[in-house]
Amino acid sequence: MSAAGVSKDLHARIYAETEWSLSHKLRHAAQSVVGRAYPRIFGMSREPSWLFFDLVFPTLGMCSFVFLLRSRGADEAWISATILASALLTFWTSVIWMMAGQFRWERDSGNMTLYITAPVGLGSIALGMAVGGAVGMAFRAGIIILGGSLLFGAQYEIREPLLLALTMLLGIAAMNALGVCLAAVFLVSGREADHLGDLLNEPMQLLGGLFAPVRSLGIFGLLAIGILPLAPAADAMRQLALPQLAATGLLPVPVELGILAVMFVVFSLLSHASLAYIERRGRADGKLLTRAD
Amino acid sequence: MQMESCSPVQIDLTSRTSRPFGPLRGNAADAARSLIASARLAWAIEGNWAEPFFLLVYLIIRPLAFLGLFLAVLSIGGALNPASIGFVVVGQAIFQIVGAAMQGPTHALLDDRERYRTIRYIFATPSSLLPVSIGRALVKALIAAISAVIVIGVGALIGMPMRAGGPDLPLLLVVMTLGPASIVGLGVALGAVCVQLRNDAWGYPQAVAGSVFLLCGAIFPLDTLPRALQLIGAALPMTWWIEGVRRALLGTASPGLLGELSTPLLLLVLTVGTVLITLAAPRLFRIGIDRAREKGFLDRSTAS
Amino acid sequence: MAISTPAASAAAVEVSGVGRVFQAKGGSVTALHNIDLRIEPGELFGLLGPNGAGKSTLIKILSTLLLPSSGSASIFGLDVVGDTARVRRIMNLVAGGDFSGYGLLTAREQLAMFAQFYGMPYAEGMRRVDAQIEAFGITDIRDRKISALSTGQRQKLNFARSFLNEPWMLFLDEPTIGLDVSAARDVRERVRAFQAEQPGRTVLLTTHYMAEADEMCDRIAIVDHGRILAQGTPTELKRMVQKETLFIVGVDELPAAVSLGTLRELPGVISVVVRDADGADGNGVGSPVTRLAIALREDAALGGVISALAAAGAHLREISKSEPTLEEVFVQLVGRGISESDSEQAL
Repeated sequence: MSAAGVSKDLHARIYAETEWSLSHKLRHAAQSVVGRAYPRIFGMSREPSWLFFDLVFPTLGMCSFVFLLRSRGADEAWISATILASALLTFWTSVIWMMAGQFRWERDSGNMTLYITAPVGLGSIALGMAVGGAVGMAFRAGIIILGGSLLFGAQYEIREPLLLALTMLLGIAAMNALGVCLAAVFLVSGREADHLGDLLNEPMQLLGGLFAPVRSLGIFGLLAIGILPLAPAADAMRQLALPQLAATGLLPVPVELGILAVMFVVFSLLSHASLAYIERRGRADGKLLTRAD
Repeated sequence: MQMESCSPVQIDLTSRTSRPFGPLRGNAADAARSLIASARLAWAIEGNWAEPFFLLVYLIIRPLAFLGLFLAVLSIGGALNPASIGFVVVGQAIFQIVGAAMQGPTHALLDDRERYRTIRYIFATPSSLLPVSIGRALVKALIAAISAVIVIGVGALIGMPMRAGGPDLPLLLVVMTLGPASIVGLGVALGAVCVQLRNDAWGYPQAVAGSVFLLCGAIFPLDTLPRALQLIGAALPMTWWIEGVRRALLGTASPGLLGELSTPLLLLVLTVGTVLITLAAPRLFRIGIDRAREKGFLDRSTAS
Repeated sequence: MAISTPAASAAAVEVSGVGRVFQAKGGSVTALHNIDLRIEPGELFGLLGPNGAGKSTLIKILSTLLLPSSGSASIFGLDVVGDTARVRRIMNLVAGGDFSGYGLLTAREQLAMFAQFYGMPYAEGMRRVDAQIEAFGITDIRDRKISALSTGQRQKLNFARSFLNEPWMLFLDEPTIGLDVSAARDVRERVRAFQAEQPGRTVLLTTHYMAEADEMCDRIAIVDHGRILAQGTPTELKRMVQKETLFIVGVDELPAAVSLGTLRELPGVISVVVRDADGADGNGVGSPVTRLAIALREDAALGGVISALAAAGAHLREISKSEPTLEEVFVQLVGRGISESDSEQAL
């Protein structure tokens, strides 16, 4: 066979190798998600400092609000609500810094180059980050609730545990999807991304009705319930875990659950667009995906 | 050709007579130059002056969001009244300066080591890292002070009761001199501790600031805390600083034990605390930097 | 967008009229001007040029990191713009000075993670991971955290990662930067072994180390200011500077039985001159040596010259081939040295 013939034979063989069946693609996507979740779940616990940051940090913020409430003679149910809010806050903080801000770190460390040139897809990477982050934060949230309950005697009356679990899952999923949407903004912002993260922290805690019901914010509360996953998640979880505070909820739990579901779908679609934008713009301008030389 | 022998020049490297600031390298003029240069750099980096949106975020949006959070929580307890608003507004405003000054030196050292990779070059100059750290802390505190004024202004608009006849300016001047001095000292010492750590060190100043926030009576009276924590809180200069500002602006003392102490006693405690910290801080800084140098953390990035 | 069929092109890499313009403050920068390039399957092709020449830009386009502003490019017939997903399944990339990875993972875990990203079944992936760890001699650090590895170890790990999916097309962008001599040599040997394992595996290497390009590459393209100035085998490129082959032959002394004129008349000989005559160590110490500079049309003609000298009774002391370096080729083409070009870029 001529050299040209060998070459075309090779091309045909290579082309055939690039044909992946649907099952191969699905398996690959699942493997990629697991692969990316792995450093989040197992890597993070290898630094001894995680104990400090995962235990002390969240507890400090929680304690400040608890003592503020106690100094003003608030009902003990609000102490329990504050502890629950602190647990939920860990997920929100993770969404800002470990989802939205994470792609910038991946770019600066050179990982983004490897992800783009691998057949993995940024969607799988993002999903892996979300899953890994959620698992890690779930542990942190559990410690906060346990610690808060031991320190301050918080008590909960959960009549519908499955509904509470569903609310929490949907809330986390919607928040992470929003985080991926924001990833493009963070990447484009460059160094200003740190400032963006700060903007999304405390102001969103207020708008999200974490430590005070979103109902008290009036029209801003309504807006928040409509666009910020934190708001319906916090409001619904408070009503479900503390029935005595149900009257402080802005909307009934089923409605808020529905809002979370819609948010999840909308933000998931937007996050898909966000990732496509990141790749498209990055390949076009040559700056977004690779760190400056 | 024979070389003429010459006796080597004798240089006494142990003499400290030319270094009146003890652990500082160089002399006072070097230190002042370094401090000013560092302050100018910090003003450019930290101020966001070229980015109006982010200026807005740090000077106004974020501080007011914090305030809003605390006031919203107060409203839960049915305790949203002028006195409680004043208490929280002043505490929150001043604590911004505390947080900024505590985190400033650490972030400056870590920025120079991890992001800009210039710390080895600064260290190799005849100047000391101490005035560099102080310069960064002072500017961060100054920028936070601008924000504090805005918060107090907003507080006045929403019903914070000001002292009859206006602020007690002499008292305000004294506490606003002593307080920042003590907090910059603490920040510098904390920076020297954190520079001995890996990249995770970014989070420790925030944790320390969070602990101080809990203990210094910023948003709730000290008496709310368990007894042991009250004693720790009482040992912190910022507790007395915030109380001094409250008395100067609001004309009333805080509820609880702290409020029962006289203003002269408050000033005495604040002065003693500040003097102790400003004397100890340079030493602690030097020890920390030397240890970081031993471990090799001054000249290499430790980011994981 | 064009989606190629597999038989459209027999080349491993086909670049046609590719240009790339970057927008910068104050105007635009043209990094590549109308590049045409063809790399055959199984070649180790080098892109040689100073910093800022456009080498990395071209690799980024071919590795689907960057879109070309004009022109088209394909990898084994797969369009890098239209068939991105397929291209990524058969290629891999190693960049020099790369500190990617998650510091808290061990070396083995890092490789295992990337094995998942390339869609290998788990067991097969781990088999390849362990095989590459052994091949690169990094077994002793397999359980060490990435953050604790030296530059050389990290780069070996990068190479190991790049071989996991057994790519048909491997891009090496200044891969030996920051490596010591020994580590660089190990890496080069491993790349050659990788190609030898499977005919058809193609490597595109960018470097500004002339010696590396000369040693490794089957063919080289010299790039400067976004243009290919010349391409060919190292020998072909050197012939641009010096068309004939030059040998330096040292003998005790030129025998009376043979003259320079006699040697010049031998087949394949272009010219023979006495280059110098001195002591064996060049400093006038030891036995005298007469060095003849013999220009030949082809290497094979040397045999005739040596035979003639030996037959005349000359004692052969030394033989060496004198070739121009690629640096000299670059100077000839560009008018300045590659390090001068780097300085210009820096300015």
